[in-house]
Amino acid sequence: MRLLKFLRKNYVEVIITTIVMVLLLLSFYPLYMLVIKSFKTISDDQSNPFGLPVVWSLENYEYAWIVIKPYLFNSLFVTTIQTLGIVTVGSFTAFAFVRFNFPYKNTIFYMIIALLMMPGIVTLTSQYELVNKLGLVNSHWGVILPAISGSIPFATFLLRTSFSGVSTELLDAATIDGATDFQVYYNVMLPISKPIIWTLVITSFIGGWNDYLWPSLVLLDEKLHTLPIALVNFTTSYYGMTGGYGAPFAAYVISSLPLLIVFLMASKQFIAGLTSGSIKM
Amino acid sequence: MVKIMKKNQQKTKFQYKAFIWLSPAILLLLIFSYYPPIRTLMFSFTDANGAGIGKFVFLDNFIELFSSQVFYRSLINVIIFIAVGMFVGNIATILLAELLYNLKSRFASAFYRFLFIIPVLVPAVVIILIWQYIVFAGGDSGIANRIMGFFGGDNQNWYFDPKLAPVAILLTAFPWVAGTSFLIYLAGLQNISSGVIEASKLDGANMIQRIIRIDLPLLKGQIKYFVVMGIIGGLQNINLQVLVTGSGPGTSNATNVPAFMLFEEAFTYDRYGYASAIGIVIFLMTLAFTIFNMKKLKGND
Repeated sequence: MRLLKFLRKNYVEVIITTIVMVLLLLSFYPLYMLVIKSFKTISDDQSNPFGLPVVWSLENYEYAWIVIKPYLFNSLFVTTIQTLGIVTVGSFTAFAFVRFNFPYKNTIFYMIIALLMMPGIVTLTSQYELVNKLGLVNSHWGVILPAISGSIPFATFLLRTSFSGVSTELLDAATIDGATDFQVYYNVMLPISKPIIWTLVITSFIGGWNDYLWPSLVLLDEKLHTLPIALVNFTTSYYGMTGGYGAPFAAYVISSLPLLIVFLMASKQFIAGLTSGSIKM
Repeated sequence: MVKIMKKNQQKTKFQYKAFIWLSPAILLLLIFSYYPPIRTLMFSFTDANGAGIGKFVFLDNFIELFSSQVFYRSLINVIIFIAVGMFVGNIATILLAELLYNLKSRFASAFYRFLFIIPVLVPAVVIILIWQYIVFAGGDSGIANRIMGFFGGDNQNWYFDPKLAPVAILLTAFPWVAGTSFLIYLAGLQNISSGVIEASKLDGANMIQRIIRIDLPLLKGQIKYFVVMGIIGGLQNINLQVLVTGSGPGTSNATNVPAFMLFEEAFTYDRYGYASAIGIVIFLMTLAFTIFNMKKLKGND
């Protein structure tokens, strides 16, 4: 009786919670299977592909770690430099548009923003020729520099909206107190805009960490490979050797951890920035 | 007083130091974002093969492209992928945002929101590999085949079956709700003033009416953004093709899209000129769509 009463009173909540649970289940089930399988030995997975491991084995993780460690560091290097570059150049640009008055201001702004409408794939051939001519094929800079350039339009768009919400009086007050432009930027603008900066850091980091196509074209030398390339190669070679996927699955789990850590560190700021209303047209 | 007047005068003057702040962006954009499209346009009129600019062939590449059956098949594929993907994806995310928004408990809402972000943090390539080797794995070990078996169906080859491959591509990453777009839609809903909602309740509007008449119009800015970005992203996202399906089983071209044609022509056959022509056509499609989208949605304001 009590249950019925509860259901009648809260039926909307109950229905919503049920649907949300089903969606969560659907979203997480493949990830759950990945984690489960990464702890199984090959014979265990073959005899019982859907159940829990008979013995929780760390073998796969030990092997995967040895294989992917160098690529993990390659990815960390490329992604970190790229993210720093995007945030620095993007915030410089946005600061200039918000703080200064200069000739052709609007024209330059639209010239930058228009690039948002240019799919990167359009310039695949010429971008490759360019990077090749600059001697950046087989260099991490051949990945980093085009990626920073490609992200400037979005970073400028996002940060300018947020920066222009900062009160001009406050910035002027700092200037009158004798702060240089760089001090106004570094000590006033950036701290106030922390949430949106973190949003840009996390979206750039996710973007860099995920990038597959372009790095796979530029980084021909195996030693330079980033994690996504290494994961694909590792999966094929390990399957060829053993007929199973245990160790590559462990490698997938390991390679998902850095993003999770970055996100947990800054989830509050990230959500606050993303939901501040800067993204719409 | 004099100081203030001086300051006001200065304000109308140009501050050329702005260009110091702009210089890193301008330098990078000129080299890596403005030069390549011009070069692509030049390539598209030549028979370039990766070594230099090649011979001028005027419109030959475009004529070849528009008389190619493969191109039309790819075009139809990408239109279906984008249309279905975006329609279902955006509806699913808005629906999820509505669900969480209508939860009374703020804590539960925030907690579910947090959980739905986690799948976004799994690297894109890993998601593809999971779907290739766990969900759509062949034989009895795949989740999808297990579900088929449960309903009495036979094991399928998903990504490698000419009929099923496009469906498998669309189903990848089901139920498509996890994403930053969901966060932004939810924030958009939470920004709607409670006064508007109360007024609609007083007028006797039910939840469905409120969603259609109030929520969706107020989310228009966000929807517009994700539609444009969805088209641009959808036109160029070829990770699944490059990693798993290629142009489709055999010569079916069942999963081929223009961007993958471009990729293959450039890096498998070294036909930079022809590949660049495909690039120009992709760009023109984006441009046409963006202008259409801006004009149409502006008119409704």
